[in-house]
Amino acid sequence: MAEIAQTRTPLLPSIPALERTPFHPRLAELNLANAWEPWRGFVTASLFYDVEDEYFAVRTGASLYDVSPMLKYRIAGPEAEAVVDRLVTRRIDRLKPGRVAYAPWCDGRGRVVEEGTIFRLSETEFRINCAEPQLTWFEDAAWGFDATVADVSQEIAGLALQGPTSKQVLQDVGLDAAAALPFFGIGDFATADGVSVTVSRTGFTGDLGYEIWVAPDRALELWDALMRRSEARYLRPIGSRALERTRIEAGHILINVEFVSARRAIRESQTRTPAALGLDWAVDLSKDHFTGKRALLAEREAGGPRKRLVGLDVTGRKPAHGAYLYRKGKEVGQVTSACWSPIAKRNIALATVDASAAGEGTVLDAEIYYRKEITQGKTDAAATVVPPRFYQPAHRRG
Amino acid sequence: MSGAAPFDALVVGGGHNGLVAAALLARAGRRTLLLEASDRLGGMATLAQDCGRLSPTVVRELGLERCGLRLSARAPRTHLLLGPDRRVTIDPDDVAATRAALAALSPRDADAWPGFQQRMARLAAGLAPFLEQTPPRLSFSDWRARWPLLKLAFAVRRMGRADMRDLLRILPMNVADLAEEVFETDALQGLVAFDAVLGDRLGARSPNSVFTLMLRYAGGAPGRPGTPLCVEGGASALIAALETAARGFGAEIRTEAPVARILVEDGAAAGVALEDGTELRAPLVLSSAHPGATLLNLVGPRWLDGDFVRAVRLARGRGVTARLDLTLDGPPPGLVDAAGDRFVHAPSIAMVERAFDAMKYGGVPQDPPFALRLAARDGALTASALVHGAPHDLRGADWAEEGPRLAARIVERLETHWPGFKARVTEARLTDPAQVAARFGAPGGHWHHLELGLDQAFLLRPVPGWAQYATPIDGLFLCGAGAHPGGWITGQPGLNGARAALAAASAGRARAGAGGV
Amino acid sequence: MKRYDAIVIGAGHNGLAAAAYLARGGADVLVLERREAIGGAAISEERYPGFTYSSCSYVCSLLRAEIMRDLDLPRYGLKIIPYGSTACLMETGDRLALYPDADQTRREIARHSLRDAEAYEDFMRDLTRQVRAIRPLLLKTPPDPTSFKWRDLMGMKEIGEAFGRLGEDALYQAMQFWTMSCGDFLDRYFESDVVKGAFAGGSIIGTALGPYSPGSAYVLLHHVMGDLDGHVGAWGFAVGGMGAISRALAAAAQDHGAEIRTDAEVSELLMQADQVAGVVLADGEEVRARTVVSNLDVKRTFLKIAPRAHLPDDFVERVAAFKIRGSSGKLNIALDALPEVPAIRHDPKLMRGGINVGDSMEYLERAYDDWKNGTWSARPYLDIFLPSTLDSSMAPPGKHYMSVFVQYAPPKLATGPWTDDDRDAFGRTVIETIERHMPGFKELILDAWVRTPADLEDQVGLTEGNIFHGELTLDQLLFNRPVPGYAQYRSPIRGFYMCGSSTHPGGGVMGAPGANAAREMLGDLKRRAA
Repeated sequence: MAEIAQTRTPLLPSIPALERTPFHPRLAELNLANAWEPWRGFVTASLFYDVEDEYFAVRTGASLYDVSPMLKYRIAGPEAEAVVDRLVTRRIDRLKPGRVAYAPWCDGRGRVVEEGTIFRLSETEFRINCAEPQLTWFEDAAWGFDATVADVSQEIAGLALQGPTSKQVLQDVGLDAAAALPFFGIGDFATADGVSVTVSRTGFTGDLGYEIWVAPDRALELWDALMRRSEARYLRPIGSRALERTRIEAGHILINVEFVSARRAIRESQTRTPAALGLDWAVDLSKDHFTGKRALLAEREAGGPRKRLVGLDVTGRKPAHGAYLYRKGKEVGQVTSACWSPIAKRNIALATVDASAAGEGTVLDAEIYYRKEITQGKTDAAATVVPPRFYQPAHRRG
Repeated sequence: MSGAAPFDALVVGGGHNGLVAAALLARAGRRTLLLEASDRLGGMATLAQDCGRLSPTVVRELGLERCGLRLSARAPRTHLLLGPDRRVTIDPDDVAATRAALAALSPRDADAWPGFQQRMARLAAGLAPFLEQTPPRLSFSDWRARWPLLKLAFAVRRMGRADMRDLLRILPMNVADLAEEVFETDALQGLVAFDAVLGDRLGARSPNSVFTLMLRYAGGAPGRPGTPLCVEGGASALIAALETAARGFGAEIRTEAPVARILVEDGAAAGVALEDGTELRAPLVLSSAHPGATLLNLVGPRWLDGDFVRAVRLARGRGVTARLDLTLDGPPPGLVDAAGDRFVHAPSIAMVERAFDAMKYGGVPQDPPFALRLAARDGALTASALVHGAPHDLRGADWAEEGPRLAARIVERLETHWPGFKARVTEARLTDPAQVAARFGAPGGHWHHLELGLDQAFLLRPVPGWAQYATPIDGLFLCGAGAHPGGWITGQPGLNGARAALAAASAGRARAGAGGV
Repeated sequence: MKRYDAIVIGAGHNGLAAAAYLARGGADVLVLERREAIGGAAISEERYPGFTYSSCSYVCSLLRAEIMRDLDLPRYGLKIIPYGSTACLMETGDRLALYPDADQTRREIARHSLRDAEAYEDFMRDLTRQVRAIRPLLLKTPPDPTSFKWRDLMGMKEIGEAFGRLGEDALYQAMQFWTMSCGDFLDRYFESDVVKGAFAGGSIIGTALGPYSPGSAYVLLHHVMGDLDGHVGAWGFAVGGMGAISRALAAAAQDHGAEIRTDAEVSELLMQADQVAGVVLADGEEVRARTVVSNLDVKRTFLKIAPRAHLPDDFVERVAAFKIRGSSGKLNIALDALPEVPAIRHDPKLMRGGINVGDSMEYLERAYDDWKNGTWSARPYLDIFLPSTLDSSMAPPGKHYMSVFVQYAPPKLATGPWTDDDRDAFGRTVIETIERHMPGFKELILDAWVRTPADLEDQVGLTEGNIFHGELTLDQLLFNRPVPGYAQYRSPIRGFYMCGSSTHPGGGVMGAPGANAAREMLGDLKRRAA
């Protein structure tokens, strides 16, 4: 029997396996569950103590989620607008400084590469936030234009402050002006303690919410200020598990779940066009040329995508994770995300189905597999196609 | 501001491919205007020593022989320069003399030479369907997409089993291995290796170089497969004939009319803007210029998909070939009736490879291989040499300095082969890739615009997925050496590009399909 | 006199795999090995007391999982464990480490170039796509594209479909992969020299190509084609050294009834009319068999053993022209202690993986230029492993065995054949190169066994010392390997087959040629019996 030989070097490396975000010291103190997961080389919290408590904080109070591992790119220069306009599917010349737009961007075949929020910081400066690295893609997009692209991810830490009381939380720390930002607005502010922040009224939960961007060396000060009145505002740090539910309720798609980037797909069949992801609203085929436009025009001429992302209202209580969907006995698609929605009191899901089965009100048969103590259970449920917006409180835009 | 004359088609660039395209468009009844930046037509063809690979189809379709083109029955002789006054002459028209000359080197090689020529010609004929037609798309989605691919597969099978096997085996090989398989003398091995690499960024031991060798045997004289076509008066006579043909069909030609931009409106070509600000409008624009220059400079990235722009940028095309022009005040000693002949200095595989080794690292080889040709012009004797030894991307030096040094070394080398040669030289002028780039608007200064490796041939030329002459801009077509089947004076890209444009225009769909890269 | 169903000439890993499959299929098999030990180039030897050297091949990533399972090799004691990583040591004293974990690798590349860290993901996606198309072909007999036989047509269709599934974009990419140089290919993705150098290393191992030789991109693929426990491109180490693989294959073969004889050199084939009838050993002994299969490379097989009179001329010409070029040497070094490697001191995992010297494309290309000029590289590319960090049985406690694969070294020097002095000088070049990156290394050397390509030819029987039994270039792959028209393991002589790395899918301790050849032979034996 061979054994690992003795070496003079230690067993473990002297560098950490995963990086820590600027908020990590506070997160570590609060993470009673000690539940962590990797996120693109960073360690992030799966949950802190109680996923139900965290979830309801988002829906009835406020929540802080560390979004520092998000990637941020700065595109700046006299032709920055032209670069971004050619990059994404929406009209960027209409995006005014101080405003944010959500948009996907595609490859030449019209397949979604990634999606994210685009901050127009000034006439000549943009920042794009997204989940997967895009430096080479953006640099290629900027080639031949008078604009520069820089990865500024490490220079900016971020917190998502989400939930009905998040406006008060901002006011508590002297960010009244930020609290008054319009939906998809953005601006630079300073807290009562003098911490400079950029705040955008954006988020991933479908609730009232903001994202606060801060220099890494001021991150802990900002955290402490925000958390000072956490009890009064029902403000909780939340982990990815609570967030996952809220984003399904909001109907937000997630890369590598609802779609795989056209740049990463091993199998071509796994890529999706914006229309197939229900992002038609974010595509303007009448605007000037953008990457993928010709292919998307051709798709429209051919009658639209062959598959579509839909919301499902599923009978019963078993979350339809990965469920196969049938219509008249024929398989028409699969569920990509599913959960029980505690706020809507519904069994909800996002699914990709054949276009012919994507009509609102279509009833599909879902074959749901679930854990039945020590065996796997299978149940059939009816799944009605609905718009993928399961929770949209009025105060979200208010 | 709009130009006065309305045109159906504009052709950018007055090289031989541009002229072929313009002539063909005009012949089809399109009101055609060709725009050449410089004051004379011909483009890079003016650098060429011969037009041996001119497509017979071009000659026939455009009736070039009626336009003054004279094809000679005599194929040029090749003399191997092997040392002071030591030359071995290969005369395609005199098999017996060639055999005797080669036998002096090696009886075995003298036997092998004719067979090798026939073999290459046969295999090149097998490649012909690939070279002559517009490449299909590599799509298996339905039978309409599969059919052209199947037809090509059948074309290869028609070659017969032995030739097909031979082709499949040697096509990706390096020329050194092939030459060593067939010949035993350094001199013949060197010649074959040089013929394969000239014009491309290749060494004798670079795989793919058999492919470039085989291209030498494609096209050429009708009825004499593999033998280069001999045009009396060379490239300049061809250009003159093409001009006559184009004008004869009604095409208008303007020189000193550099195009600054290709106008794009709503994703489609609308015409061009000249550098003097004139705008000329037409629904069809064909560019025989470098694909990168056409798409990235004249069109600009704004109208193109980001990944397509990347693919165009990645296309390899850094030239390694220079042309040396020598003016002589009299025939070099001991030379009788050698005008039009080729004198090749490439005495071994090793020296061809050494030249490439230097160029790999951006250096100029000490002793590069070259092919010299003598020509009598206006009573004076001139000589030109094509030199495989001039990398566009010089490292730590520039061509202003290196050019004259290289020229001097070649003249010295000629002197050793040919005592008394140097004294005859009154002027030496080297055209290096940097000058080629500047003069002909071909970034990289590559003679074929883009390198002609297997990785940039056929379906993959100029960029994968866009080998059908159409571009992402509706109504804009490529028709230059950067398009399939590539460089040398074949006229084929001009022919195919014009045909593609005409087909698209008459089908009423300038739209070329919504593909991407 | 006994008549076997099959005789296998040569007990290399492919010969043993063929024997095991044949015996498992019910054939009566005899394996004949010239040397005193089995294994060929997959061998463990104790040359210095207490140390086990994997004296030729030193890693396996290509050994097919299907073969491990079919022959139940783990039951015969074979344990293959993954190497952790590959670290490329830089001339600046820095390093670039590649880990099995994509996240770790990305962060490591980002130290050199943020752009390249991202491009790495594009690169891996493209490699994975191509590997997915090629891998199913490894254990298949290549179809003959010039044949109209049903089986060949179906085979071509299968290849067509495997690639057709890639989709149009990936198909163009496949064409580029098969024709481009590794250098041009990597230039499409990366900007940093060390990143390109680290990946290019894989494209030159064992080949007489430089990274800027077109066609070398494929070798890149050949080296990531393998997988271990489902990890694409992972490298494995056999506990007990590479000989353990041969021992397990032999045990499996014997368990199924095969006989193995060592010290039994085959000198020629025994013919009966135009059909093979057995073999003649060097001592004159005749052994009869219905079929014979050669594990030797194609040149040894047909230029030395097979009767010339029974071979068509053009076949012999093609065999003679088959390119088998030695380009690698090997050092096996016994060390008194684990050497210090400052560049990777921070992560001990890297000591248990591959350690490479050769940090840029230019470094590699210049190393290749030396080979072309008929000398060993003055600054060689090295692929270093310390198997004893994973398996304590390889060296006495506290001491270590180092395997050093050296690229490039020519089979013959420009000055003539290798001499003892040349070998010493070659060894010194390598040791000095290591010393530059591992200060104090020289002091630790107890024994250094230097093997030149000429030694590999003389001692192991690899023509020119080529580890792959023939270059892995497009003209010598698939239906071109080893000779167009003879890529289906059969030779022009009835009953005589090939199963060495000269046949599809080529070199590496993969076992696929042996398994494929055995399948063809069993089919033919059955047909003949019927």
